[in-house]
Amino acid sequence: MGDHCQQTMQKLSGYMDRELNDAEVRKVKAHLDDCPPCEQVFEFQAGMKRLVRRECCTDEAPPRLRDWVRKLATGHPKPAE
Amino acid sequence: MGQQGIGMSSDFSLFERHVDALYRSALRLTRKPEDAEDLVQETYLRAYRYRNRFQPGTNEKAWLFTIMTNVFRNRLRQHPLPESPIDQPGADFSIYDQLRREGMPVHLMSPEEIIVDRGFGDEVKHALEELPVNMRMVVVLVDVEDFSYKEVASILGIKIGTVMSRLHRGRQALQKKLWEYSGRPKPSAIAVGAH
Repeated sequence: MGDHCQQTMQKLSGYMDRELNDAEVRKVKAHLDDCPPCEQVFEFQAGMKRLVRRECCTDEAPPRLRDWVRKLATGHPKPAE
Repeated sequence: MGQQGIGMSSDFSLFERHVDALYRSALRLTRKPEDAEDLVQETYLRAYRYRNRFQPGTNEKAWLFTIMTNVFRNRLRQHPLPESPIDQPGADFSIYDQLRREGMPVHLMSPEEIIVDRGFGDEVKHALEELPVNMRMVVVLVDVEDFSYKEVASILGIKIGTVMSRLHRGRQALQKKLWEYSGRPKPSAIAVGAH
């Protein structure tokens, strides 16, 4: 594992979470374009993140709760303060 | 001077749109639908009570999540939930590395294929809910709710470096749980090979 690979692995979460500055993004992207093994690691970790998001976004608030919040929002009835 | 708080109750409807996000995160935190519903109600009641402290134009979703995580942590202090200890991997753990060690064609497999398409239903949610609460909150806020590290640091009142280390450890622990669910040998039983 070369120096570039190691540096890229350290920045991978930041890259995936869009937390890097433009210069860092360019550097990571250039390495990933060049290095299939690192690119595969990135694809896999990004896939994990998508999976967590997709699986956890299926729950919706129960209608009862939604109605309750709407009533609060419209001020009917006004809750005790 | 900018206008402070939101006065008219109609402005409160700005907060209404986040009910699904708050509820699904409350579910991951409390693990029970009735507790999650209660936590979200308490969050909105407080948001209503303190609505004049909200700065219009700032991120109302982050504001609501700040309230909710505070309420949740206070409740947890009063009634601690049992936490299953996770054995922290000594070395970095990832499903990707494990599969490579098994000689699997990892580049041809997506995490969806490996984890979900094996006939599991809710294993990702369950794995997440088994994480220690500090890691769980960070993973939920970053990976599910798409907050930035800086926003998460502000919501939880912790340093950005702490956000990053909890996220790193949380994601690894999550993968370890999913790996165990998939019926493969415990990572501790696998010799750690060279990268």
